[in-house]
Amino acid sequence: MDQKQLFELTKSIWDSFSHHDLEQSEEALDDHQVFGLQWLLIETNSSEKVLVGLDPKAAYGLASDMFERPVQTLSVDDERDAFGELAHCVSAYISHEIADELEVSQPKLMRALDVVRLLHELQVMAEVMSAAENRKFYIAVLKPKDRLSE
Amino acid sequence: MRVLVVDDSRAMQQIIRRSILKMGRNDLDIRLASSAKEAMEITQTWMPEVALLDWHMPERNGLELMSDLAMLMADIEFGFITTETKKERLEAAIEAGASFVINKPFKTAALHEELEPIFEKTKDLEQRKEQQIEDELSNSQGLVVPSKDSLERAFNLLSVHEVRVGDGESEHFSEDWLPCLVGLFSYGHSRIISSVIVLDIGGAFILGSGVSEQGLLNIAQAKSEKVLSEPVANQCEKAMQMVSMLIGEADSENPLELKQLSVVNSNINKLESIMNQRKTQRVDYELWSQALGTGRMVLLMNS
Repeated sequence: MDQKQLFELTKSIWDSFSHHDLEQSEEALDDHQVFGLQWLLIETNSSEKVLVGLDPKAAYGLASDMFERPVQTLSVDDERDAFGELAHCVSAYISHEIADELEVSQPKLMRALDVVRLLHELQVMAEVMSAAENRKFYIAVLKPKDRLSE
Repeated sequence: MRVLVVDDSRAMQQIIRRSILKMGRNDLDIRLASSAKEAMEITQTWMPEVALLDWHMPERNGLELMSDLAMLMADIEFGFITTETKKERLEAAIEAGASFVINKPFKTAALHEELEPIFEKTKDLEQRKEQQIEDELSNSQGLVVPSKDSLERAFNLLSVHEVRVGDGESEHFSEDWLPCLVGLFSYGHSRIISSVIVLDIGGAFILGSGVSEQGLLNIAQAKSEKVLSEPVANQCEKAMQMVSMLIGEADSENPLELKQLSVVNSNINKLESIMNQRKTQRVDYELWSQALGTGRMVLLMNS
């Protein structure tokens, strides 16, 4: 799966849930940005993992669209529920693209520090940074590093 | 149309609910559950006609929940709304009785396309039940109007709390009778309905609540919400089987039997038309229990 495919798949799901337009960004994720996003990790029954990061304000905007309620009426649980459902849908379709037999776990909340460590420990198979109303949305498909490439 | 949506995401529940409401039907009653456990709790006091299930949920998955619900409710229709795409799993869902599987995220039109025939089929089934009463009520030779005392004795054999039976006032069947339980009685293997019993919600709960104190609390709540659950209907079925012995002649070779007991949710005026079209004898009873108040029971027989 290349970056273009990853973005198109992500956008098709995002557009089903949100009214805000999602655009691909040329920016790369740096360690500083990691601390500005909320993170969910979805594991597969193989070695691949899907990492999803979303700006907290974008997550509330997403929840507002999904619940059809104003942001100020939403709880942290509402925001996590909406973000979790988006991440689960995206990861389910990504895993299906990688291999039919892959199954995905429920999304697990990750601390930024653990995300930094994960990104250093694992190899990125595909990643894309996008933005909705200038709020970052990052997705990466990760796998264990190939020993020969180290 | 009673629709149960089960999805562990509350955001997704709302999306599905809104999509169904966009069908524009005025008979929709949609309830939401976040887990199989919550779904089973809801169905203790409310019987959905259609259940829309997620596949991946903690504890019990959608397929297991479908099996649980199907054991409780024979006529329920199922659909899956899921991220699951594996062909063998989707086929397993259809083989197990699901009418459709659509993938998340879904288009509202796609959901409507799947639901419309199911809603029509469910509505037809309800209408057929009502038509059956109208078409088949006839021939009540040898039937006996049971006395209040004999009914009281029979009902108290089944109930843990005292049930009293008195004379009821003959009232028109109107919307305030809904939902009600309608029992159809016939002789042996005959398809001809010989008599009909109608229980309003109060009567159904009095006869259907031979249970513990905790059960009574749940039942009192269900009664106030006007929902008839499967356990209540099952207990009523036992009471109706006893009534059949009192109505029918003591003929062990050809006993009067309860042929069908159904929850009727609409078109109560069909019962009124039966009264008008045929020479039907009507007997009204009032049921009373200290724990559950009063209820109405009507016996219809050809005179």
